[in-house]
Amino acid sequence: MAKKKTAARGKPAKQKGMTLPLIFLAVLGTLAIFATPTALVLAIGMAPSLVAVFMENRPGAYTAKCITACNMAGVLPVLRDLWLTGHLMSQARMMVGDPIVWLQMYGAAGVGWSLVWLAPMVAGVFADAGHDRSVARLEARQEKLREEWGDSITG
Amino acid sequence: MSEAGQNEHTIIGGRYRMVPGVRLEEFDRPHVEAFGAEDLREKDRPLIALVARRGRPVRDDWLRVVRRIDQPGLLRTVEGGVIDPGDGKGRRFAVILERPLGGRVIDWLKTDGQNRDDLELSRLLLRPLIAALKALHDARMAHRTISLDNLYFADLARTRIALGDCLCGPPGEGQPIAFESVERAAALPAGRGEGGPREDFFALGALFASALARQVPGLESADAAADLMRRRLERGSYVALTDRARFGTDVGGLLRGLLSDNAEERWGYEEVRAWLDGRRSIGAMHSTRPQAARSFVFKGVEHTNAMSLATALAQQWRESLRVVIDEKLDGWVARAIGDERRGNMITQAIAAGRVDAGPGGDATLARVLAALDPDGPLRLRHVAVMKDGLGPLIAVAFLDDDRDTRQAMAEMLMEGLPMIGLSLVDPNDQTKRRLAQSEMADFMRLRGFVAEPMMGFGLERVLYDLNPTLPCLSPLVAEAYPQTVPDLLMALDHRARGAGRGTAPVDRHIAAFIATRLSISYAGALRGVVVGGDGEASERLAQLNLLSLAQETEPQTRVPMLARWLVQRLGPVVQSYNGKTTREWMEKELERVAPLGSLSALRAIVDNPERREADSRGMANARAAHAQLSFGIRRLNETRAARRLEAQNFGRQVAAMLGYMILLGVLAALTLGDV
Repeated sequence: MAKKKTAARGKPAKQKGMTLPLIFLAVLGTLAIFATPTALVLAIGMAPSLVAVFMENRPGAYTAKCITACNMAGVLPVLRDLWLTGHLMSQARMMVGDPIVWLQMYGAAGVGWSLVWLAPMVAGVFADAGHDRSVARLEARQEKLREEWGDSITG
Repeated sequence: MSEAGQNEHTIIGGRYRMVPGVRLEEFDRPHVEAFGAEDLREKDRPLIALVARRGRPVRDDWLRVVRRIDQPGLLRTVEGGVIDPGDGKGRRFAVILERPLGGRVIDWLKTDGQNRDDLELSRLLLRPLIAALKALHDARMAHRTISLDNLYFADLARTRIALGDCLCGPPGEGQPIAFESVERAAALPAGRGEGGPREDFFALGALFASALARQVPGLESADAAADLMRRRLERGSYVALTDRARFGTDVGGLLRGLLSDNAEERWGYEEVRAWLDGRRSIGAMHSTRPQAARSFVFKGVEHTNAMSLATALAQQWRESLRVVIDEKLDGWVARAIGDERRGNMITQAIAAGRVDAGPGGDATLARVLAALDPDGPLRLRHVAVMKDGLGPLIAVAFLDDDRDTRQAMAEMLMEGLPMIGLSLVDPNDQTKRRLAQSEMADFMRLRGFVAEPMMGFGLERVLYDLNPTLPCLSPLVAEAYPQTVPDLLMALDHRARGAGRGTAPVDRHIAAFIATRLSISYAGALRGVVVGGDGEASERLAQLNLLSLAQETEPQTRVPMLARWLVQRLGPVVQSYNGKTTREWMEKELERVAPLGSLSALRAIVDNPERREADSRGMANARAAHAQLSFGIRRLNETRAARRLEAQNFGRQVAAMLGYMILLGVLAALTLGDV
């Protein structure tokens, strides 16, 4: 029964989780037909995002969103250069062959990864500190009561 | 002690001074030491100071009566009070008397007085003495210390005979056994009782008979005394005391009147006065106690009256109960003596009580003897005491630390022995019946005191109730001889200087003394004061409460040292409060208030119901608050992991937002053409 319930709850999440990569692939497929140079740059430049999107299984998919946004921020200048230089296949091939471009695109994705790694850790540290502070405050009040009324108040 | 200090402590009434350095051993008597004395206003006045030895109760409640009496037959008591002779034995009661200049009569009788004839001696002896006794009896007091060694010549010419002091000891104790009426002679010396004019006139008769014979019978040894007692019981006091003596008919008649064992027939002032005035008559011939129709044989001795038998049974205590049952004593009393009521009472006592050895059997025998001889002393084991002698005997038992006697006295009261005789009073005699009812109520009250184990009651309470002027006998203050509650508090204040924390300022004596003086006559009134509950704190608070109650009788009495002593011992009471702030406040307040010497102020600090209530309420609130905080901490610890996860998730959201912001920034830059 419990298994059924878990399965019932898990199904829509899985469906939802699969929607974004499919959209991603559909957009890429469409672009490959109508704007091949852009599709090439995107396919190669947004590869980290694609991996993140496929790997993400948490509700909200904030990891994928963060990496995708950062990755996109690194790819957009390359696309702008492509589009400003005539949107040619040769130009696209030259760009994707440039390590600086790779560094720009993947570096941006790396920043996204870093944010995703750092932000929860910092938030966790803050949460722990807040918790410890609250406990200490309550314990101090208890100690004050014990000091005034003696150990028998615990009885 | 300095000389000035010593002088101060040896002055009585601000005018008379006992001189400790001048011992007058020729005036010593058992339990009385004689010293020189002086009148600070009239230096030439011949005086003597008699100091009661420790260990004996005194009759100082009669001091005012005796001081007023100015009769040639009684040495003038000019003053009395408590002094400290400076011999290290503490304060004692003392009386200042006019000094008998002619010495003791007994010495004169053996020398110059040998040749005086009976009539001359009777005039010399009896005329002043009956006048003195009448003056005492008119003031409702009996002398009760009539004996040859207490009889003096007041003047140098030896023309005036006078009786000496009667205050420095229990009534009757100083009299030889021959000078006591037969009932009282059977009691222990200290338990012979206050008595009355009839006892004094019997003693006067015995004194006169001894003066004529130049010897006191029964003084040679204990056996002689027992033999005398036996003869008195069987043949009557007159015959026993005048045995083998030859008197003229007149004197014989006088002695028969005075030495009658029947108190109703005994001569008093009027008869003796008439005899001295020449109207000679003869005392009743039947001066012995009522005789039984047939004798009761006990241990081979035939007893023909109840008192004789009761005395013999009491002397063989262990075997008597069996004899009483086997020989059917109740039947003997009912038929041979002819008193069915007493017979029935004996039957009931045997039927209702235990008849085996031990305390139960003792009580049964005591009740039987009380019914057998209602006029005689109350008897239990080794103790025999008259009803009106209970007070002095209990006092002596405490002063001598005689536990057996104390135990026996407590049992006597618990068993209601004094009430048995009272219930046998003739119901047709209204006066006697009313008197008996009143006495019975008194004994019921005393029984209630003994039955109550609480501090402030018990036999100590009976002790102070029956001896209203007795000083507190607590070892803490006995040396100071405190007779009033303020005196007791001052004595405790003085004692506090050397007292350690381990010494309690209230013991059973002090509690009973205060309860008696404050007339707290039922246990309920003391319950909240002397028993607060279990534990050290309650006990110490109870001590403070009792002393504070005592101080309220005279609030101007300040006792700073006693207050300090109590404060030192109030630690557990202060600790019984839960709040630290309250405790600290109390400690500070107690320290502040102690030097004022007000015990009520101390009590107000540590025994305030509102403060106690507030403390309990505070404790309850603190408990609730502590529990709530514990719950909060537990809750926080339980949700720690979940909150961390939530925070991390939030971190991811923040990361996503930052990603979008970076994207937006790049878009903006591209749009504006900077990159």
